[in-house]
Amino acid sequence: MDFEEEHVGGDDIEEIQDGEDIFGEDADISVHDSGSKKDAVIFLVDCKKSLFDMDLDGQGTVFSKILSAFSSFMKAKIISSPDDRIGMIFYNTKSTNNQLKFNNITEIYKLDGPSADIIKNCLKIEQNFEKDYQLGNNAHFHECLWLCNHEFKELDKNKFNMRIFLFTPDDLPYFKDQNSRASALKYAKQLKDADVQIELFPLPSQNEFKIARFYGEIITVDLDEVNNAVLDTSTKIMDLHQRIKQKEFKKRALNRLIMDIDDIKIGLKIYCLVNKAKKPYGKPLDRRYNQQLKKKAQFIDEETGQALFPQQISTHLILGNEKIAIPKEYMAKIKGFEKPGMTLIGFKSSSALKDYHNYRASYFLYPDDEHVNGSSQFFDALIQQMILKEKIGIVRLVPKQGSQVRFCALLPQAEQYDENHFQTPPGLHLIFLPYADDIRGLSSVKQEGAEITRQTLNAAKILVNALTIQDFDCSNFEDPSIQKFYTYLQGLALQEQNIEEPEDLLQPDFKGMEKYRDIVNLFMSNVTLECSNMASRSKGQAGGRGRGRGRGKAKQEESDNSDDCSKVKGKNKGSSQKQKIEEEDSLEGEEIYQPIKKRGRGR
Amino acid sequence: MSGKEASLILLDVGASMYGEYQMGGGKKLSRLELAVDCLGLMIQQKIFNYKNHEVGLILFGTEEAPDGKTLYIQDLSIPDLDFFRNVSELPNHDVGLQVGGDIFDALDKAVHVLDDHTKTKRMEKKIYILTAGCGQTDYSEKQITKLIKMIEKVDVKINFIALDFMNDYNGDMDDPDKPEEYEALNNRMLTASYQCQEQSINSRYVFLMVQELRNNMRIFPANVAFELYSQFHTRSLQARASFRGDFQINDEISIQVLIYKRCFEERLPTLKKHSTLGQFQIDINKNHVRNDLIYYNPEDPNMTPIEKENIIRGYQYGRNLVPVDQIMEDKMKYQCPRQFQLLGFVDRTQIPRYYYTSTVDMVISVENQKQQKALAALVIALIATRKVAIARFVGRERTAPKLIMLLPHKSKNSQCFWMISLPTTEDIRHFQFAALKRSTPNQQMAVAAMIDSMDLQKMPTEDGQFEELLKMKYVANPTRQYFQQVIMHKAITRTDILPPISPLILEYLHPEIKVYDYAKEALSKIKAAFKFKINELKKQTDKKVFWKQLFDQQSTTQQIQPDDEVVEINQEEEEMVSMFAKQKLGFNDEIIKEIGTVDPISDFKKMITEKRIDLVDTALQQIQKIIIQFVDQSLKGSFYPKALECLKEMRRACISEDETNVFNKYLHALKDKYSQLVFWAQIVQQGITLISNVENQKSNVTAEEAQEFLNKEDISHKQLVDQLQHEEEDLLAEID
Repeated sequence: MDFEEEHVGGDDIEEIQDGEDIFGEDADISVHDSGSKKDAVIFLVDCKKSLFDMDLDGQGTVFSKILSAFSSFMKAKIISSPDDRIGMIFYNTKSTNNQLKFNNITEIYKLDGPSADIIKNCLKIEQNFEKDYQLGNNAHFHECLWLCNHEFKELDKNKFNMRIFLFTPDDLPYFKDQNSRASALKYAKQLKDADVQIELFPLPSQNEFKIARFYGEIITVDLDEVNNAVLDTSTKIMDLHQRIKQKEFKKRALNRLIMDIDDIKIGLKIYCLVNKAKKPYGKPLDRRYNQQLKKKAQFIDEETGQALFPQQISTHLILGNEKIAIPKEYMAKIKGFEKPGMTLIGFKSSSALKDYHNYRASYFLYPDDEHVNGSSQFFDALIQQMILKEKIGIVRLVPKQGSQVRFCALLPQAEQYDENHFQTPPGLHLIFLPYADDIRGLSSVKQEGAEITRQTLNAAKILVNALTIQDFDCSNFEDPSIQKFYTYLQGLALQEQNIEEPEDLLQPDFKGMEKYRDIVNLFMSNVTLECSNMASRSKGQAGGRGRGRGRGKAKQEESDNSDDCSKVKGKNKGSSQKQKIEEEDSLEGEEIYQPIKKRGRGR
Repeated sequence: MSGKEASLILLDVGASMYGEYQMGGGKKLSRLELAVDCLGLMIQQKIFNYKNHEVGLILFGTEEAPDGKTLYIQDLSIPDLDFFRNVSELPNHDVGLQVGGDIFDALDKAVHVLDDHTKTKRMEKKIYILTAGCGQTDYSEKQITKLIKMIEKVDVKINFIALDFMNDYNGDMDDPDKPEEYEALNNRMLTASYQCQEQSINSRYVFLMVQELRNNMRIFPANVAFELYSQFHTRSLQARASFRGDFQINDEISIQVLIYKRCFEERLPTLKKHSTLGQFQIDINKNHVRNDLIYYNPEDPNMTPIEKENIIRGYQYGRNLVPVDQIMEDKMKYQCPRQFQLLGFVDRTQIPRYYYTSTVDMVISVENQKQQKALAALVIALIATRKVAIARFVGRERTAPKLIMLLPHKSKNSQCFWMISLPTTEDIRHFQFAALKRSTPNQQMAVAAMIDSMDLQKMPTEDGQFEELLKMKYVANPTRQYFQQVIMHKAITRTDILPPISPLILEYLHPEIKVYDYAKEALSKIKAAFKFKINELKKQTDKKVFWKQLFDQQSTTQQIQPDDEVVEINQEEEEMVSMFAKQKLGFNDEIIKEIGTVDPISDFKKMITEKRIDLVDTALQQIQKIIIQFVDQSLKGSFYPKALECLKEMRRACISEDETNVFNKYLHALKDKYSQLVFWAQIVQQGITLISNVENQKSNVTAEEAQEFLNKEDISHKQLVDQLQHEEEDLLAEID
């Protein structure tokens, strides 16, 4: 018996229906992306003939890929930040259509919020391109920048992050003369001064794309984001889909704070790298007039029927059949015994952080050198040394006034690049550690360890190795529930009659697994055989499981047999397979894989 | 069990309990005060968290008892606040004449009381006994044996909390499977010194009992008061399976599993509203508040409530607000049948720790030999191959599926998976961050020293030993603790004064006081090594420079040509640019024709996937040489892990490039060459075998033959494989 299990038993405290959750939804650092700056992006596409060639991978033209990237970019925005603005401009088209009447520039979508219409129709632009726009003469590049600048001017600089996504296969745009090049640089400078960032997406062409040839002088780099990938000049920069995905969200810190180590102060910025997307809350509408309604809660004293003002309402807890008054001011004091902030307490070996030490998403910490000089170098040394010594940091954290004090682990992450030159950023992951209260004792759950034979274990290993997904990436999976909700919402918004069900990407690939059926069967037949062996043994031998000792002679005979048998192949595969395993098994004796010798009892 | 529980507390109130608790570590309190504190916490837990736990209290060692021995002062019942108040009052009673109570008489009576009380009811039965062991007993060994039988029959669990008594007992050593430790414990118990004759006799009897009642009795020598406290602090729930069903491996084969909660944020209880119009009454039926929620048209000055049937919901889609009625709303939900399906296995390294975004559940198999073996084999195989399983999970009928991961876990003799949700593309943010400013060797050394001197697992104690600070397993949520403390204080005093937070809580909340003191020197070196300077916080603005300015600096670090096209940048920006210039950024895009030893896998992969020229054959030849080179040059296996990773990568490439024979031949060659080395054992332990025709049709090896390749090993070699497996398991095992 373990003391831990003493408290196992009983029920969750009953949820009081109209009561108030003292902690609200999230009592910690705000997780939402909204609130800070919104994003405004113009897709500026250089319409060259090569865009309509097949892409290297043979799956559609480059142009179609830009369109589908645009569409999924917009889709992502609709889910995460519907107030962002997106636009699209083509240049070097035969058609001309833009506010400033510049030749050979066509404004496809004016900067506006993401809309169902565009998501649906933008993919059709390719098939209608010949009809609607056509390839044309060279536009003046500086006019393209001018037009973008003009569009952005209507937005409040303080409320929007403004970006141009420039797609082009040529590393040098058309310039009539030196003046025209100078004008392009002039407008680029203006854009920079207006805080507009140009992101370059080089497209495949016959010639090598040299950024340094021209674009290096107009595209800007955020000094907070300078790394290997930013200055990449290799062919990897052509990976359109991945790169747009990476640029989908403008980097935003949730918070800046100080980490105390005794009297040392380190500047930090907190980021949220994983944030569970949720379906939105609906707003109340009057169905008859499609009028948005307002909600009002009215509290009534049940004894007198009198409507109550907020100050006439207090709160209590029911305990042991009594009411105990706990006014709200109390809660602030109960939770406020620690000051807000983050304190580094010390280090533990990285094995101290168990897989089950998790109950919520983590945050990412990056040094704020601007706030405290030296923080970046400190992080650099800290991350390297923690990895070298296999340590994690332990901090105490009170995210803000009124939130609960928590202990968290700091997990170091060194900067790395994958084959596609994508950065794993340097920093520390902040992982919330559970309190003893949060860990469920499981001693009351009946758990019995099973012994397995080496053969079964080998079969399991083969199964595991065969069904391994290479290059697994969570980003390749969509949440089918969210996708369905938005697909329907889009269908409703467009008043479509038949809304197409989106594909559920979370399905097992039974077809693809078909070829591995023999390996799965091999595994299960090993398990089954082991069980039946044990059953027959316990019937036959009162002594229980022998380790195959004293059976030498029998083994010898069987092994002779099995040699012949293993040569039998083909036709009657199922049965011969079974037979063979049986013989192998007896050949080896019932060799049980030895589990770890237990290290003492209890805690 | 339905979660019902009956606990009987036996509290020694003899004079010995009024003595000072010797293990209090400088805090002056009597044994009885400590005992009552613990009981108070326990009752508090019961009141807060358990609706159907009954508690009773028996005092022993008091002459006030009718039989001079035991006094039944609280019947087994669901505890209320009055019970709590009474218990808190206990230390204020007068000291009695008896030194201590008769432990065994009290236990005997308690077992009978519990037996009578519960009879046929399905209830967990527990006894807590708290004593200093100074009471005289007239029980003989024979009677003790009878008592042991009775305890087994009634199936009572006994928690023996010994205050300044049985300090030499160590539960970890009390294990007949470990004869040496067991022997040592026996000797210790025999030679231990006692305060009085009674303690010696009691100790002998208690030790005897625990030998016989291994599964029904535990002794807690309370030499660490804090840990004792924490036992009462934490709250665990009756484990109840949240899912029972099939874990499908493919369309035919599945394992029947149960899922339990493992790690979950325990929140504070919910407060209820009441009206302050009338006099506040503790009666729960008084001062009620009703909440009338109305919806109205904002243009209607009278705020006339709109009837429910006319209210639907609208959702923002871009800039449109799309009305959605209830029928449509149901249609928009993605509803699946209950499902738990394997999607595949993935290398552990491919799922970074920060992708763990949810609470943790435990997956075990149902109680059936075949199911248990199948699950156990998967768990152990995943540990061996350092992989996890990825699955689709729909926990309840008609809900949405989740992408989840199953992490293998093995403890002592049982196997399970930890189940955690993974993010999907909608949730992941790919942010770019600048490279860090490089630290100097001097700074690295300072930080290394700081990490060493702030090691929470090796904090020196006053007596020259080491202790671990902040063992999270024992750290209860201080806010919950304080919340309960306040509530109980209010319940008893019925005043509005907020009690200060217990110093005990504050102490465990601030371990850094000790740490900083110990690390003083290292921290002062940090201050010297890094010139930290705190700046006024300015409004965050993006600092942008043209790409060319960075790039030019990269290529020509020394000279910057005054180019009129290059825009001026301010000093701060210039500093950053030149800092990055020193760090040489960017990538090399040359065709790799040779696999180096620094990053062989990356080189190999690049060669295999190189589209400009065909390098597959060359790559395969070179990787074979590299692997052998790694193995041969290893000192005590130093390069084995690298060689293994290369081998795995080679196997992968041979499957995708239809070069199965190259690999199979090579694996045979490796076996011939290295079968006596640990390297070969590692190959088998990780289940790396011949490529079978299931994986690639070009192979002429069947799956069974591939398995046999692993099975056929000689005995000494198998031991080596097992040993490796144990090491692997140890990495994940619980270190308690």
